[in-house]
Amino acid sequence: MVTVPDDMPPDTRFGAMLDNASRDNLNCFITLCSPKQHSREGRLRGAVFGIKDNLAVRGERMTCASRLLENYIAPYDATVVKRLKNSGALILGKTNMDEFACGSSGETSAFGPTRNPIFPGKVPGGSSSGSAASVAAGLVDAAIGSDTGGSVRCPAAFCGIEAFKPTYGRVSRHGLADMSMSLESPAPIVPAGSTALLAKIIDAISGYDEYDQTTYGAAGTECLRSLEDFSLSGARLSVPSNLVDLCSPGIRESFAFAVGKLRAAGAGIDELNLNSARTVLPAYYLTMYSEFASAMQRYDGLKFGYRGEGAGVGEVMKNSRSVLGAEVRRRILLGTYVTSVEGKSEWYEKAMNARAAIIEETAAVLSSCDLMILPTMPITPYPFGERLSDPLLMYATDVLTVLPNVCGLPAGCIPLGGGASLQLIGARNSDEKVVSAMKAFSGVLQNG
Amino acid sequence: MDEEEVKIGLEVHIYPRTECKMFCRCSASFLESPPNTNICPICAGHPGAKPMPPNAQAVRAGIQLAAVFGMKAADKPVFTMRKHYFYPDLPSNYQRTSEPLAVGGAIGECGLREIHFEEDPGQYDLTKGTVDLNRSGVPLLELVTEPDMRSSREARALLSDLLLALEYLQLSRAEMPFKVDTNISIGGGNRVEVKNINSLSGVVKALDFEASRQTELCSAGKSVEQETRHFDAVNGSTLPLRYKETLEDYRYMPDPDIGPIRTDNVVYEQQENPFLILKRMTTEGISGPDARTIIADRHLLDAHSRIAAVCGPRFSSVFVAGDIRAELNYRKSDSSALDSMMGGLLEIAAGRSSSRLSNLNATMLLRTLFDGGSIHPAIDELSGGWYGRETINDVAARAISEHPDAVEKYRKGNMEVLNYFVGLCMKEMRGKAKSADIISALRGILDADARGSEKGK
Repeated sequence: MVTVPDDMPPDTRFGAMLDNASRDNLNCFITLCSPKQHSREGRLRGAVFGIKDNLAVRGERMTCASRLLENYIAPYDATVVKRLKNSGALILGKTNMDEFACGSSGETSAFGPTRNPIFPGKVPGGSSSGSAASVAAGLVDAAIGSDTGGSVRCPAAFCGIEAFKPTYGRVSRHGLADMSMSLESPAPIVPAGSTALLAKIIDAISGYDEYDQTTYGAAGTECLRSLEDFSLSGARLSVPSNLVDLCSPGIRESFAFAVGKLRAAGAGIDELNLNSARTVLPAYYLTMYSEFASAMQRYDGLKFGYRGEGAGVGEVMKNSRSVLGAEVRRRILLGTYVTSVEGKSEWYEKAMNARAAIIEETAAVLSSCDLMILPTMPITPYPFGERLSDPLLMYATDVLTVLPNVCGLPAGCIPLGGGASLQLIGARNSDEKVVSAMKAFSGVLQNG
Repeated sequence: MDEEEVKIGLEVHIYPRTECKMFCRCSASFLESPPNTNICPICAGHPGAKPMPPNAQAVRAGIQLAAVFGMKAADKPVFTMRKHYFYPDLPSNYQRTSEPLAVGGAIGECGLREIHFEEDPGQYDLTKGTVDLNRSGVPLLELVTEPDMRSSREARALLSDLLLALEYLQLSRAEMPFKVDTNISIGGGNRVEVKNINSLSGVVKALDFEASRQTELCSAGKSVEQETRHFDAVNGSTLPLRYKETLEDYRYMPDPDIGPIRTDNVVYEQQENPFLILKRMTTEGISGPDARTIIADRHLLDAHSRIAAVCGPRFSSVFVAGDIRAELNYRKSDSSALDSMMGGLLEIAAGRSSSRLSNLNATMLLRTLFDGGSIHPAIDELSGGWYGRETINDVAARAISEHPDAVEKYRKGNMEVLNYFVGLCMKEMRGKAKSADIISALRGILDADARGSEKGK
């Protein structure tokens, strides 16, 4: 890979980076985009982006890393993509991912797994695997992924970089192929130490969108303006000990070391036990299965994407859907059962009730402190194939990242080294505070 | 057939008058567009496209209609649900359909269950195997009745009342107000659903056909199968669906992309209840059908109220629902054209109601007016220069003296002859005399002659 200097003229630099990306051996990209005339002004002028392949870029393929959408061309721009373009950003390519975002390791893509640039032989994390790996490898300046249960924070942790999931409703989902509508958000990924760039990106993509009625507030975030506002001295940080206990010894050690430095910098640390620790993973998965099965109904091979052979409509639909991967089909089947007359009261309704209780408890905790902190992933990156055959083993790795999605809260992560990562969770709508804390924490943790 | 045993319930799918589709900005008028041109990523179900908020015009129409029939608006937030089933005309393979906007109430004697909004699917042509999504996402209001009706006549009356309210309040699409699913059972037997009937007469035919089909089955000792049939408009019969419907689990769940809506902050212009207007008009002596015709059309109603103020309600109702509407129908023209003709219409109506204009001349003037011509100075000529009693007497006397054979017939009791004489006199005076005056003049002369000749005997 050739190092591309930051001070090249944007067009020349884009060409050089495209050249680098075309020789990428990490399988970060599903599609490389040709240079397009974007806005030449704006706060992200010339910044080169990777876009997860479940976000629509007009005129480009959007495969969701599935054979089913292998040849689908998006007819419109996702709102985040449109806003990036309007801010002067350049889009280099559509990044690899777990198929329809179903996975936590980057291994379920129909286009082959993404490799980890930092820990060779280990998974890069998922589902925004290509977004994180391309940022970590320096192939792009930043990337947009999507985060439904940790899908940017997990690969950012495994690739040693930073990522941020905004408050639900602060960034439009229009143009994001649905996985679980009530849980997810487009989410940016940046290199370690680039919190200022992260802040600029969030400011550029956030704010009300008439095409997503779950967005709110006329104005976007002001993360850049308040980037230096977080003071560790006197800050009150809550640590949910019973979630930290679920981590591997190595992760617990890194986390304890980081907490020690934060305390030394003047932060007050409160340890507590979350009752929600036991229910949050099942509540997340049941909600996600239900919404995912509904969202996936549209892929029947009749209107777009792969069309299977068959004598009648029913057979065509069935054969078209049979190209979906095992994990995608598993989640559709589970979601269909969970929302059926037979399974609804036993599973779906209980999950909804559990979710309400988790939201309540978490809000109470966050109302009496600045932030909640915990590790991002309970383990360090693991070898390919280690968990792929056992879905429960795979699902278990999401236990620390799903809480912000279940509650709609902002959450960021910064690397601690060695594949460990620190996660910061803020109260609803406190995106600025979380991002400024990421900046403050990075300073303390690196200088110590 | 014993009417007491028949139970009929209707599900009426109303096309509310909106500019846009239910969840996007595509036009709700889909009839004119070539296939698959009136679509966008939202109504075509493209990956990633999210619905826009439920169309406020459609929601308002539902709430307004519910109020007319005394339905109770939902007192909690109304969620939009996803109803899942695989069918080629449904882009996302789920249909968005709301929880009830209102419940209860009645149309006439028939109870109402609920009203909610939903999106229409596209159109699937089974024979060609093509799908047109132009209709996909067009708003519908579904009004569900209780099974309180006992005959097709009652069903027709209910739909006429519904149509009256829809038209008076201008809530439905003019070109296509609704389509109907009917449910009918006999003698407590199984319920048969006949789907997708798009005319009032079709509903009556389908119900009559089903009632006699089911009655025949019962009297032959066979049982009626619970099933869904479709209506064959050409033969006026019902047929089983080609595919048997299995018991489906629609997996209803709230759409996470659509926030709940409230019914208590829906604002609309308060208007008089059309059934109160109907009652008032019939009390004034206006016939029911004429009153309904007038209420159903704002321009006719406006014309009626202005003409009635001058000429009285009964005359006006006949003039508006009869003469004026006939001219509109003849020209297939929109009643909004009446607004610019109001002055002329009033003049003609006033002339006609005071008999200064003959029926013939009034019609002639109406035609001139509708053809865009001027009724001046013709109307003054036609309604001015009326002949007085003396001239009428002279003309009558002359006619009588010139036709002794007709007088002879009259004497023998043939009263038809009188009309013959009236015609002669009218022609002579070019319509500028009242026929009643001519008759009394004729009678005066003829009966005086008769008395004279009797005396002479």
